[in-house]
Amino acid sequence: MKKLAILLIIVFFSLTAFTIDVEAVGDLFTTLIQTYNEEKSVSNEEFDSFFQELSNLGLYRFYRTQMIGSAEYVDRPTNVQTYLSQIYDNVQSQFTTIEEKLALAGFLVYVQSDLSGEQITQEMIRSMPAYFATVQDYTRSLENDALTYFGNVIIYSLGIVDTAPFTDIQRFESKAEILDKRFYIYEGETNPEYNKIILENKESLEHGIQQLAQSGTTGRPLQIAIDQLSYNYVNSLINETNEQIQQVTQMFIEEGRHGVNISFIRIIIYAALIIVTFLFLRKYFWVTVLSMFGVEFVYLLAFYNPIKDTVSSFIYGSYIVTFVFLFLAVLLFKSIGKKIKFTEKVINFSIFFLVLLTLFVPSYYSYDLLMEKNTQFDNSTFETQLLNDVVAYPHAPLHKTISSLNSHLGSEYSKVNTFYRSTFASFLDDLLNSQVLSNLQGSSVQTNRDGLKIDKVENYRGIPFDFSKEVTDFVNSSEITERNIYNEVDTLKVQVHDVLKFSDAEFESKFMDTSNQLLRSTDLIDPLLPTLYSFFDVEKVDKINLKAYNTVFGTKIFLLFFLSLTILVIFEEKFVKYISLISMYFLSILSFIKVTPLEVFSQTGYPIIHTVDYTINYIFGIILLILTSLLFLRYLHYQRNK
Amino acid sequence: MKKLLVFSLISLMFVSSFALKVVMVTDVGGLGDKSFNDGTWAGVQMAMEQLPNVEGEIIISKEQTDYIPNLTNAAQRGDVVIGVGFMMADALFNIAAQYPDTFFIGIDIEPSPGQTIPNNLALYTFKEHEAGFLGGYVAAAMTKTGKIGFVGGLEIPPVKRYEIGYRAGVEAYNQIHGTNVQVLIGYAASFEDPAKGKQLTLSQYDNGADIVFACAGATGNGVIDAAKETGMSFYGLPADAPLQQVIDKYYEKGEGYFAIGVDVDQDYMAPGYVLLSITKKIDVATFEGINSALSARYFQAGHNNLGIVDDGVGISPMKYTKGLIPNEVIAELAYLQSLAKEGKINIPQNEAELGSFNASNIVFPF
Repeated sequence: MKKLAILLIIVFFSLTAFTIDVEAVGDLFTTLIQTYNEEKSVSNEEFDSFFQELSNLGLYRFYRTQMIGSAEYVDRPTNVQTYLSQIYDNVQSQFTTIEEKLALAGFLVYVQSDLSGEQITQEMIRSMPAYFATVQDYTRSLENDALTYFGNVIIYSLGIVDTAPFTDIQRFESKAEILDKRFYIYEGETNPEYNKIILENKESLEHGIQQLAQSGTTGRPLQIAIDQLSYNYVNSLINETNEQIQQVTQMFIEEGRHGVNISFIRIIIYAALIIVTFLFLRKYFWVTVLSMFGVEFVYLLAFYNPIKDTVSSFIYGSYIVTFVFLFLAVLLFKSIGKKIKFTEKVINFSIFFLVLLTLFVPSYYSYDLLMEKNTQFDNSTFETQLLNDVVAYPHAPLHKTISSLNSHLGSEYSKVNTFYRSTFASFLDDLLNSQVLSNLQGSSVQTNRDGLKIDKVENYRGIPFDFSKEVTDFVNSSEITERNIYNEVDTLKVQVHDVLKFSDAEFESKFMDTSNQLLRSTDLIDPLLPTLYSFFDVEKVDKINLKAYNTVFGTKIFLLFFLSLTILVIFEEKFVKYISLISMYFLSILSFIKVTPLEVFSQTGYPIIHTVDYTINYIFGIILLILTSLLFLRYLHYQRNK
Repeated sequence: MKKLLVFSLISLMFVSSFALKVVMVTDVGGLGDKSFNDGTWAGVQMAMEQLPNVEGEIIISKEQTDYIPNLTNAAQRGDVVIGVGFMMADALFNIAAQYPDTFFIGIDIEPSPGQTIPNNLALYTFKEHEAGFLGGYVAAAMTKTGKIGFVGGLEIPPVKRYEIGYRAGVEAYNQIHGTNVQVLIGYAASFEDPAKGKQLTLSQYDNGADIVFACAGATGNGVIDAAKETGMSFYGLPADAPLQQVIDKYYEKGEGYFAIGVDVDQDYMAPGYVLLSITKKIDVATFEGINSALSARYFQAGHNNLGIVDDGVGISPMKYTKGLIPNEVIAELAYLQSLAKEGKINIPQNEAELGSFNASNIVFPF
């Protein structure tokens, strides 16, 4: 009974020593989620720095795409979890306790799931560097503390040291030594929880120590053996912590669950309706499709979220590419066909051209997305990340170009050097050895009369002939390398321009410093430097072009316009034709309307950014209007000729 | 009696708690690649022999899609999981984060820029360019045709570093000795295609090379086959000719055809035809990793990049061919190694550094 009481006390104390307040983690986690979801409308000073960094993350991906495109240049690109963990590193000083740190790490998983439209899973939580680093640091520090405490008691018992936080233990005679005492000297106060575990297990612990003393083990193997012995008493505490962490992750999954997006069900209903109507009411097939079009029109315009509705985004993404490709191909054939009337050809070609234009003409010009207008981006983690991505990392496009340029320069130098020092010198040596030449000093050459007689033709002509082949190889190779060098110079010019035109003064300065360091890695580049430096004088853009599909609102217009176009092309019923044309006119007019703030995609899976100070490019809307009118004309023309 | 029983049980617990189960997951090259899968397994075996209560087990990956399930399986069964090869990097990082109580060791795996390494993951990479440099220098000194070859597997970073170092060794030799030894480069686009390795090597021999570095995992076995086949034919010797005859023939002809092995000592694969092997101490790194995993406090978590200064890379002792190498070259090589250890020579590891590499100021003190 007494033993049971002691055991309960031990369990109680050990729980208090290794306890994570799961409820506190949950409270902060839900507060963070609420703040995140309300952030668009509410300013929360407490988490300002976090949301600023989140916004910088979106800006970073946006600028990166503008400067070097969205492609990754390395086999194992950095993922969004790593970037979110960088935010954690920047703001974690505000979160001091383990509960706060865990809540923040869990919240970052929530943000990741929100950005990707996926539900939180155990795997997602455990893969988040901020999470696994926090958990591992915490458990490892608890483990180390306990192992050092028990280790100190054991080496005291072995007679290696004369002090320990707990000394009521049998001491043994041994010649054992340990190499690294820092892991076995406990610096803190005596710990009643650990002491109670020792008292409870004193018999077995002393037996283990006795075995160690008798085994003659010393040095590092002894250190390992001490740790192993200590683990027998520490493991229960570690397991308890692991169970609490498991509770925390389970809570993240439950509390961080997003509402299930059931919008995909409408696709199933559409499919069922199409099949039923096609099989049993084919005459009214167009009515069904038109009704579906109406529902879809309202859904896309009012409710569709391109990031979260991944099913619709996938279907429409696939549809747009396929449809535009097929439609353009048909139009192109109808623009060049021999039997097609000239007027029709002109209309078809104009439609072809205008559809292409819609893909390339910007629909908005943003002013507040310019880097110079986002001063909070300066000196942020993500500004450094942007610099790494464009120039500093070995796989960055500019880094690779400069490396390649330096490599070609080095290769050219090496070949030229070898040619003059070795090939040319060998040529002269051969002439001297074969007595074609008798003496050579500087540029003064003395020939040997006997060596130039006709019986020595193999020497005086053969040696230069062989040398001429080497000269030709050398010249050809040098010409190729020279072309490669100037190709790299041209590439560098384009790359520098693409980066600097979107940079503010701060980023430009950092970019130039980094580029300069790379360029200066060899003196062989010196003759090219004036030319290369002239590339850095780049005029900055005064606005950022946003194509329709770069924005949430523009994407909706774009998708609906092409959906209407599909309906127009596929169905012959006059009513359907007119409805689709009316909707296309309506969408053209919508493209003239300013929505504030305008949501802009940074990149799939990354935070959306917003622009308020922007103008509309009316040309885009005019193109849509003309396109619709031409399609209308084409329809009328077709009707007349039917 | 009761006390004795309790003590025995406690002793059993004490002893069994030492048991450490090591599970190695190979890359697609599999065991028997005579390269770093074999090297890693040799390290596991060394640990089984020298460390108390270490058990070893191996799981073979047939294709890249096996990596995740195999590592998961290994993590569920073992205390220490070893993943081998650059291609396994993502899978290893992924699984290490999922199993925080298991130790993971990655051989030839490095983190991507900015990547956080879990503290249950120890990565060992090698400065291949430093090893390649030594091999390239010897090859440049030994070629009789002025051309040497390089056959790579896939053009991944470690292989590229070998190539750069190899070329740097040749460049150093050219600059120091005023020669013009050239390097022919070929990639087989696979680590598992010995036939392609052989074909590329024969092509390089046809183009004038006489020494070819097999930097291609199992594909490199074809390079060694090609060296032996071409050498035998050149010397007019049968396949089972003793080493003495091969060496005599080399001296008689004044030239020959050679391969250079990679990662582990492959000289034994064709004695007299493999000039040397450019090695990483994979077995030693693996052993150290397992040894450190005996206690969480000693585990070498993080990225451990081993070079000449750590004795982590080098060349084989040239058991069969050392007699072919002039003493002068051996002495120069030793001097270059000492310079590298003292940090007095910066061996290039990328094209840019190779482009500006200057070894012409190296003067041998003999």
